[in-house]
Amino acid sequence: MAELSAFTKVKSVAATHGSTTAMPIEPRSVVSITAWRGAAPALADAAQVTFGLTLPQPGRWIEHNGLAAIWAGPGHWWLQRDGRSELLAELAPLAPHAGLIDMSDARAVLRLSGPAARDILMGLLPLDLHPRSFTPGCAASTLAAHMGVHVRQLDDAPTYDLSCLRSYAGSLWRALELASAGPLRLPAA
Amino acid sequence: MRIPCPHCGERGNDEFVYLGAAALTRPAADAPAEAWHSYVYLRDNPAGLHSELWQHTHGCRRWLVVARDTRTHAVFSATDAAV
Repeated sequence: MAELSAFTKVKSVAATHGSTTAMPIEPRSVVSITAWRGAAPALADAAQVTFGLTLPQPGRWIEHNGLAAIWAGPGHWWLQRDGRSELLAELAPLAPHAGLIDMSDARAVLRLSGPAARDILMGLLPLDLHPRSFTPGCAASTLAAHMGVHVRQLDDAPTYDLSCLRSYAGSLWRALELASAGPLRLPAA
Repeated sequence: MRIPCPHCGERGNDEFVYLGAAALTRPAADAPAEAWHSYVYLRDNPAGLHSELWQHTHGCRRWLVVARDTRTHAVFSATDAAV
């Protein structure tokens, strides 16, 4: 079956302003893992042994061999890989220790990158994104224009990934346009 | 009003959902109707320190016990309700 973009309703799906760009990251595979009660240490061991992945501390994310682990709460992480893959099956070794849920079709991811990215997001997210408090490797879940989003910083460009419920993808895109109004305006959708 | 989530750090209260008093004790199933009436309906309304449940719905999704001054909204502490 053909892949349908979560951003189909948005006319310009890759917008640029100067060297700051916004684009959907599609397709990608996302699995939510939540440690069973008391099983967090066993889950961390299994992730380390099987995938060489050190599950990140609160407010952090890491990547190993293209597999990203993003902290989402105590005992709760998102595992994510760019491109469509059988991630849920790949993660089966973690199943004795955690509940695994395939969220690939439930989430939409938007990547904002470039010199203006931080200023744009500062107008959208109620977080302090100044480099003294939010750096590459940091992750948080919060609200963007009343939509729940997960945000993580990838590099010092700076580059950020925003993940929201798939059906909010168009609304998040427009909120991003509003947040970038003025000198940072992205092309209208 | 900002709540210092023990997992996520200090966040605005629009990320949280309020439930109510944290110190309620659920009566036994065979407790008299008066005990259940009190548990379900009767609440203190303190002017000052109040211990209450908030869920960090748009953050870590954990339930927190928050100590708040109802007159000033000063938050004195926030701890995970399950720890």
